[in-house]
Amino acid sequence: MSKKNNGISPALAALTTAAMALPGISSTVSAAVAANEPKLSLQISRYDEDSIPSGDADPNAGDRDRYEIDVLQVQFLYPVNEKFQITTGFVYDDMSGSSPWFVRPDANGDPLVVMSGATIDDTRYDYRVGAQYFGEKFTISPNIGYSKEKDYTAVFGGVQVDYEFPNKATSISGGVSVSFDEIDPTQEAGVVRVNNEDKENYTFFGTINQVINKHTIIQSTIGVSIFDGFLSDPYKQVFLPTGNLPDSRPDDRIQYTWSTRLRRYSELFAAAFHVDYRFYYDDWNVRSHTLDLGLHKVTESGWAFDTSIRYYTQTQADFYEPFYTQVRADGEYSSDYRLSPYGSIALRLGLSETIGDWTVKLGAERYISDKSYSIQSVDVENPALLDYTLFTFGMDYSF
Amino acid sequence: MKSLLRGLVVITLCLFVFSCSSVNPWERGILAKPEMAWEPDPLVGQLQEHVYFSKEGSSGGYGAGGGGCGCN
Amino acid sequence: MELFTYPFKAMGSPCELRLYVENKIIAEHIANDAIAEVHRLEKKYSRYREDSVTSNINNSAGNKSGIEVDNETALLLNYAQVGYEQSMGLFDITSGILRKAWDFRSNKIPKQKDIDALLPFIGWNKLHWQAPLLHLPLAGMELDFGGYVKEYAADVAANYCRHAGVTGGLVNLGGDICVIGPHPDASPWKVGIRHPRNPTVPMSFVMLSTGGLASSGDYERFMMVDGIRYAHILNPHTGWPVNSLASTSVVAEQCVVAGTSSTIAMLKGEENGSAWLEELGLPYLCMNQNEEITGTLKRVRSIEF
Repeated sequence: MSKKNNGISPALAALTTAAMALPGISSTVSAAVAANEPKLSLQISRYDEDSIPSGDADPNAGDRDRYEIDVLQVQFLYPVNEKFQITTGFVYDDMSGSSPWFVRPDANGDPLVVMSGATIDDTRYDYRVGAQYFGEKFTISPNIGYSKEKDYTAVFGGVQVDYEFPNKATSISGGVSVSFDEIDPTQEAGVVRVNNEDKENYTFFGTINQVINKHTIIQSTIGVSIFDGFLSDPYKQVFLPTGNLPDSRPDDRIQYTWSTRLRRYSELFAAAFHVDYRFYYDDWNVRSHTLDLGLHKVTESGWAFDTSIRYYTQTQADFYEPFYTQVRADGEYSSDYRLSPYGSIALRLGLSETIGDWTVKLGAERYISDKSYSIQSVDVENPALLDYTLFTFGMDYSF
Repeated sequence: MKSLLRGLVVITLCLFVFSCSSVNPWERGILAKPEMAWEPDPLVGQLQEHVYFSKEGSSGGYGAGGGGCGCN
Repeated sequence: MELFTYPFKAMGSPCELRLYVENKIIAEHIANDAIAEVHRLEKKYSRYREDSVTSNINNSAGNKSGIEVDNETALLLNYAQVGYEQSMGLFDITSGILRKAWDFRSNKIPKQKDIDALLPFIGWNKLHWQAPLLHLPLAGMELDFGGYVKEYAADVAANYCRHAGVTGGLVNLGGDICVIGPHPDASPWKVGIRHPRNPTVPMSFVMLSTGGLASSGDYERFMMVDGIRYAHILNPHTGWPVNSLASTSVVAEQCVVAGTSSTIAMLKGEENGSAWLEELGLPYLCMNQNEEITGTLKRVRSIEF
């Protein structure tokens, strides 16, 4: 566009400003706008953890079969008007299986996992309501939710505010979320468990989104999450030569995260490349790196295909041991595999097709953990490291 | 550790430097494609997030999360 | 990427949508929706439809309480006000009523007293416009959005396609053009500009990779009486056609701005019109009554489209 060197003429500026205010001209693709149509999404999934290999489990105790969870997710998106939309969601989990109880050394000093005696059967209901208000300058998104299991209740909520700079190439977001959780463990004869405990969580984050060029966008987020209260696992114990003790962790934890996500469209492959990286650190001294590489393609006939590989690695918590040989002065103990040093690799595939108002989706994930995937050198692998398979089947309907 | 975090903050702020790149509105079509979304499938994303949250030692990172669970 | 072309008719003109899209299914889907947007605007602002916004507004003339308009109409009215102010009253959407005196099919010049009888009903400044309330104080006053809705519709359709992910394409609503984006190899579109005296041969071609192009001319509605051309470019102050340029084409970021600018340039006449466009800094092309072409818009000499 040729403009005079001394800038834009006032008449043109006035006309252009008035034209840019017109609906249909004003809205740029990067600007957040409410969806046009109500959308109902359903998804059923089967999450299946591999059994503990026989050599890793105590042959005399527990069931080697781990968790199996059937999940139903329902989500309904309702645009009230062009500035306001509501999302409601429901999740139902049906869980069964055994879980690792504690780890003990065998005659050679190698770790063996002892599984919980009885099969656990539980259900989880999770209800959420969120809203999005697309204002002149800001998008404001509050949400609240409630999650209920036999022994666990969580009430949570949060709000996020997005602001897009007038250049339409940069936007920033900030948010806060809180969760109040209460645990009321199922009691079992002969096992000492806490009775009723609670914990709180406060999370704060700030995000910047930046359009790099017409093929590339990048997003970076810094977050802090503070946990306070009962952070132990009431169903786990640790082994000590003098006798088992309950899993006992500090009663606060501060987590820091830095995440960056990149989306780049390749004309050559007619597909989008996704790169997600997260660095995590907390004051239990757990550090982790997560790298997720994905390829998403929408093919000519309306099929969509995506595949990704995720690599995760973490260091152990300060007080973690697979099993203990002596009493700790600080009284902190956990042999939870989730606090052990390990790494994992997950592979995912997704396929979907949109026909008219319907979209049908299939997905699969295979997740394997191993001490050798860790960036830390690991002497003793926790025998309860997790491998699982996840299948999903989903349907979307736009009204 | 502190210096590493500070470095990350600097990298994040440096993204602002890219702001000088101007992409015109009519060039934004590609960025609006569904496959370019941060979270292409919200329900799959929600499920995976929940699994990683309950089965790994670290969590969070992409904004606000939901509540905890008694998952073990 | 493949080029799909969808001809259609809207707003009394032959129209066309050109899209570079991966496949036919997506192209058709996008084209249908974009064309539906054009038809929506045509319907909404048609003078001929009883249920149109324009009819509702015009029926409210003289009504004390005025009429409340929707957001899109409000912003179009704001735009009209800016056009009125910036053109010193030449761009005036109340002037459509002059068609009651000027019947270009009759080949008769109206009597001065018939024109004078209409002038009291003309003048944007006579309206009371305080969004969302519009009050036409005199029964008989009329608004006509026809002067810029077609160009606006081209912008809307193009923007819709961009939203849908189209990066290359063109919307052409009877010669008012809005580029969705250049060809896949980033080369610009070659767009023909109609010759005001010969509709079959373009007077020139221009290269356009972004923005909108709109033209006004004395060829759209006119009559020749005693060898003098009377065209529908009517000065709202006098009620008489402006003895002006044969045609003006303007390129701007938005087609609607290009259209308003070319209309105002026509109303300002040959000398003042070009000067005004120079002042705006918009690339333009004019042809005067002697078929001489002037302007800053770079022309391409080629007959291939």
